[in-house]
Amino acid sequence: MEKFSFLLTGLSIALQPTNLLYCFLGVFIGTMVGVLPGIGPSGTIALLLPITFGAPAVSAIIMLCGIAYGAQYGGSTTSILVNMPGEASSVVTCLDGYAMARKGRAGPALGIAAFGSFIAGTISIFGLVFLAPPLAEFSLRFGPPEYFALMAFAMTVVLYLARESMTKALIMAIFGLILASVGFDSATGKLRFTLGLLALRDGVGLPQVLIGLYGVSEILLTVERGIKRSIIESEIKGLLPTLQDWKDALFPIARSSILGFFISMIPGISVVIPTFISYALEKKISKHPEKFGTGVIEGVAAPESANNAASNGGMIPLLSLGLPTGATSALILAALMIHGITPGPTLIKESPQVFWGVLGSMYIGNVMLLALNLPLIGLWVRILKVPYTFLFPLILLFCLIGSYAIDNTRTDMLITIIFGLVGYLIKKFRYEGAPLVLGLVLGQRMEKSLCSSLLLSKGSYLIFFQRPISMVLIGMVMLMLISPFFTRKRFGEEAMRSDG
Amino acid sequence: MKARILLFSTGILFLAGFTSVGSAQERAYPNREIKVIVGHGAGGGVDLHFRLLFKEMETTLKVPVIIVNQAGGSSIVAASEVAAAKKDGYTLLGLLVANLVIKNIVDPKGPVDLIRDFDPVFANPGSNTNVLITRSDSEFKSLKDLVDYARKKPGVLSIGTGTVGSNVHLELLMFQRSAKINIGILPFSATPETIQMVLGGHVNFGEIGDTAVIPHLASGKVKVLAAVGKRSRVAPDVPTYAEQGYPNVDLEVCPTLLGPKGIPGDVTKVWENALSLALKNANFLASFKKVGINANFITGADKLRNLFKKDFERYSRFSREDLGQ
Repeated sequence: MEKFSFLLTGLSIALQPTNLLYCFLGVFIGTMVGVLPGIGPSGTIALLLPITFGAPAVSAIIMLCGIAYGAQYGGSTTSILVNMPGEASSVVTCLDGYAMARKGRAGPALGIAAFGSFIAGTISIFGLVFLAPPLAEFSLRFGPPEYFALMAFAMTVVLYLARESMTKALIMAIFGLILASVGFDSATGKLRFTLGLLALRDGVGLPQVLIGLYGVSEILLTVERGIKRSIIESEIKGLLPTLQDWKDALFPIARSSILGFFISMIPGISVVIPTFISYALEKKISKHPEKFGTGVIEGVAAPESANNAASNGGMIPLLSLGLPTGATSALILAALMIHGITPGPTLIKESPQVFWGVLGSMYIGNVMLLALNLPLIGLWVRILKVPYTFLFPLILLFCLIGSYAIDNTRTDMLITIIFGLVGYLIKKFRYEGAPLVLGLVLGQRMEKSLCSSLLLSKGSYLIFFQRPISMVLIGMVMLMLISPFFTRKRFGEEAMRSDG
Repeated sequence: MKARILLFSTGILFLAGFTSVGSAQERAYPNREIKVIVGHGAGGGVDLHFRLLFKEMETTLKVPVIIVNQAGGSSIVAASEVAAAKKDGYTLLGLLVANLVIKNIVDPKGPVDLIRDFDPVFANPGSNTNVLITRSDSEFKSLKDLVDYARKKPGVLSIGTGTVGSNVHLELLMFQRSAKINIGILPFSATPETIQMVLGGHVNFGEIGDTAVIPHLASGKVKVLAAVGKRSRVAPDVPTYAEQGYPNVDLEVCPTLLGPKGIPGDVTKVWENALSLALKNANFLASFKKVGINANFITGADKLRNLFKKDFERYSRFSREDLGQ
């Protein structure tokens, strides 16, 4: 009960006019940044950081956090409308979101993404309020072996994402892992697979690949199909989710929120991984898993709820341990310190205004985002009516600008174009992009965790079975890998479908 | 007729435009925005260092200083671009000078050369101090405890630190060799990760920049065992590696502003002036202090060349493998 009164204080701080304004600015900028590919929340926060020096600490942090979770809202928009994820955390949303849009149901897809994000935001804020300190301690139990086990788990779960065939998904996942190994070898510092190119020393960047793989390739495919045919055939039906949509999506939203919240507490786990796992989970327990990928609303609701919950959950290690979970929260940490606030266990005691004010603002920000996004749906959907002759050159332009903006180099644009071709071939031969993305996201961290674990254990693989968390996770991985041989159900089905 | 008048007036406007540009160029440096390419990612420690500094300096320079982040190829992409830029002082390079030094040592015929291609403007050696930390409940109180234990039980202890070739990693290699001990060094990609591993007890120690330690010192969860170079502002009572008998552990974090070789002398003067004014502003120094950045700025071409020379000597002690190439 005590915490409720704190939360009320926080809400009252957040409702002060200045803070409301900063909160609105944050979520508005965040939405925009989320929509645009290449420009991510972390780059934006870095740019805006010096501007916030003059503002009061609470207001500044409220705005920067607003950008962080606002971007999760915006990221889904382009995924659904033009099959181009604004952020890596919305890659999974493309699968069913774009399919829904092609059926004329872009409105409900956008709607459920916004509502799902809102519900997830709410659930995770309450999680933050009530569970933050004890959970933060738990997250410290993740050492290199636990990380490796978690990554292996996520990787295996990817197999359940497979729309076409498990083999093809595996090929793509491994392709992603190979791409992730380009650049510095973390254990020795040696360069690998860089072809002597300076640009590849730091590896193949995720955003560059994403923009090419989804944005550019979609345009290539459309051009091939012929502009006329590619216009979404069916009429746009309704802007908001129907009652049936709600029935289908409510539990996935709840499950994914909780899942996203818990996974994201582990520092270093980005908002990307929970989206993949939640989608796989929903597909697994669904009564009609075969329909996933053809435009079911659960396929949009799950990842979009997961990424918002994860974005908020990521605040736990930051606020209660002083450990950022990713680039964005690292910047918020820097902002806190610039304002003379030390994040960590002492934050709640020493700066309750900041802690509760920011939490309160997150709730208000979520309301604002809903209010901001719902009216926009009508506008976004109208974009689909723009003749593709005009729309597609524009999308291509945005793709290339976005790619250039990542590190201000032309090489990134080249990488985007190359992966546009790769993406085109992938779709042409009915492979999938999602496992490739996950491989690229996880690869480096997975390899590092493996090396670090083996350094700790002096080369013994037993370390993965001597620690409870990693033992359970590795056990589940093995079960998943072995199960098809016994049931043959999934395996056989998939094989038959891809052969037929 | 109308069209002609329009054409004529446009012509006048054009001319006016040109002359105004002309007179602006005659005005002293700087008369338009300055682009500084920072060879590190947006939001990182080096980026923050320059952002805080330039925001303050803009009040003196009276023009915007635009930071463009190009972290590619360990700052070499950024360096190559600035080396080839116009030598008018409107394109400058901000980076940790060690990235260029290391590149020159492992690849003397590489695309860019610190001495050949750049004129130094200023540097801030020791902007941050690296420290060795451990959990506050650990039995280790000094480097001596660590070394004694490592000699008794070789290969048991582990230290988490940054990527291969980074200063913190090189410092540990140097320490390990000077003390003739063998400790497992685990390279992590980010400082928070190292801290997390120390807090969680997955590694015994961590070698990291002291800024990141502030929250954890405040909460009493970690303690500092040694500092590199100068004593750390966050733990002034803890002696340095040198004071504890390891003078070889002496690398410095050094954010540096460079221009392409041949920038006019008055450009450097303008920046030196802006810097000295910034350093007189207590508010600015306080903002540096809050994020744990020290202000040890050095200006003047000779002093800076000496500084770089010292860095060449320091990094030349390491092999190509150590430097991560």
